[in-house]
Amino acid sequence: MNATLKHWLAVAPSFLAVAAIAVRAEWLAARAVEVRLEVAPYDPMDPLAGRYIATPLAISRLNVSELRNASPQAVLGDEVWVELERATPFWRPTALHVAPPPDGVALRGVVRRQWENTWTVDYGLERFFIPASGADPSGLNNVSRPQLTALVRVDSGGAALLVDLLVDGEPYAQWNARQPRPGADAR
Amino acid sequence: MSTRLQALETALAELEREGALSAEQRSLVVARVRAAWNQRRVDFAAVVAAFGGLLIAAGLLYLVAYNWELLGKAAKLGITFGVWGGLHWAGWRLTERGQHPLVGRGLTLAAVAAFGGALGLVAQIYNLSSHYPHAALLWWTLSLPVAFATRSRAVLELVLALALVWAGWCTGVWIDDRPRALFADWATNLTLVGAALAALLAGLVALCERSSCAAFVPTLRRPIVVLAACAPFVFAFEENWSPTQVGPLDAPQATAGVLDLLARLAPFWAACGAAALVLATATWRRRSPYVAIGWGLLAASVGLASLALFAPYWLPLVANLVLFGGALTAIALAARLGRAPLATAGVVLFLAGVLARYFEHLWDKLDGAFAFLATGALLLGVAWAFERGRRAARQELGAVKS
Repeated sequence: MNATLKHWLAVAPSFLAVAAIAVRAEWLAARAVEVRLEVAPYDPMDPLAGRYIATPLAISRLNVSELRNASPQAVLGDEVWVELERATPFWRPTALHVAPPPDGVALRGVVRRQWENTWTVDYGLERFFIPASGADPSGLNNVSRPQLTALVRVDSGGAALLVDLLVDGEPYAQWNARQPRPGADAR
Repeated sequence: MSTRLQALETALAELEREGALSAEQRSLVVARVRAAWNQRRVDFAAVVAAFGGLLIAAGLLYLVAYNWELLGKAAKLGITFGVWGGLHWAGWRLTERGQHPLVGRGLTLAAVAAFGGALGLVAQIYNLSSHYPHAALLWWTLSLPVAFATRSRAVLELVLALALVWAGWCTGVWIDDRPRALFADWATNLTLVGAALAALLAGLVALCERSSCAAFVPTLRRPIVVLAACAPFVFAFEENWSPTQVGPLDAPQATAGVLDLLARLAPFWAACGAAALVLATATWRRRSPYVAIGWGLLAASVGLASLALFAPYWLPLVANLVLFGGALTAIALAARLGRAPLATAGVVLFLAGVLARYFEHLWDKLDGAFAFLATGALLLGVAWAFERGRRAARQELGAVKS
């Protein structure tokens, strides 16, 4: 094998991996079912990916006794599927499965804590990235606390993508554009 | 030129004047010594190129971290893939043409670092997050082929650093997920995973020796002593194994079954499995002292793990024996393998152990002022001993010259 081919074959897997992540995310954003979930936010920073709003979902803490299949055979670290039902303003959990349910919308997650009937489930939807200069809608820096909603796309296998963060029902980018900028008055 | 090399060449010239060496013999020896020296010395241009590459990558990561408001998704992806691919292309082109191989390698290093930036940007665009550090896993595993294809030690060093960070990060997440994690869980898992990884690296050194990857041996060998020393060094502190820190570890039969106890060190057993696999392959394919070193490290770490689980109060005593025994073994191995840095590491390890025990045991028995006085006197004594040793060496050198 010549040196050029060897070099580019060695480099290719990393490019394919990043492209695959992006393609999968695009596919989910275009095709999967859209659900709206309640968010309990805060505002930290990732050294690699930048500033984000931590978006722990209200349904991350489940009271399993209130769900159908109240005692599924799941332990810490197991994958579970949380079946959701459309409600206003947020979709709500109705059942817990240890395998993808045949129909309906179910979010796939991993059990991280079990304390009696209260389980913590990690759906991998806990970060919404915002610009470094973007306004913080988490409410920690404001007197009023806006209602945050996670706009999520879920496919039939339970894989999900956080598509947008609604601030009082408005997409984050629109809401952010209306916010006063620091130093704007001085100019 | 190095003062040591100068001294050697002066001595050879004197031997030639005295008639002990012919001019031809002297030039042959000088040529051979210079060639060996040039092979070992650090190339300034290579270091500058590597730093330049790393700074470019850091700049890229910095830009990525500051989410560009004005760019759309496609533009962000285009810039990321463009810059990242461009770095790879420029690195390959400059290296292949042979005109600027060091700058080329520096750019390839930047491209490998930029892979992390690309992963971070894609996570940012699509709001992706994961509980375990899967991005770090992708980063180091998919960069490994680049290290092999380019035979670049700098790239391997970056990959190795990422792999070690990933292993520690995974261990931390696993411990954090445990209900009621104690200090002992952190101390045992993190340090023992390090010891198992040291055994794994010893196996990799054995596999790489006398193969087409022989250039990677120094990079793989370097972290072994530090990783192996962490566990006995931390375990040697008695305070770490007091009842308040150890918790239910002191009464295994009363609190948990053997399997439950073993499960407390799950990350360590996983690292042991990987190390055993590599060492078994090395045992089958190569005859190397590093195979024995690897198995020895693995056996010692499993022994320390068993003590931590089943007899934690014995751990400080045994850890001290392992620490000082390990330091002496390193010095003995240095003499056998002809590796001066290993002897230095052994001496530093021994000194660190002595100082740690000194501070650990004397601090409680003396008032603060006496402790400071004694510590100061100890450090002065160490400095005096070093200076005396250096003066003796200089005198010896002077005697040889005259």
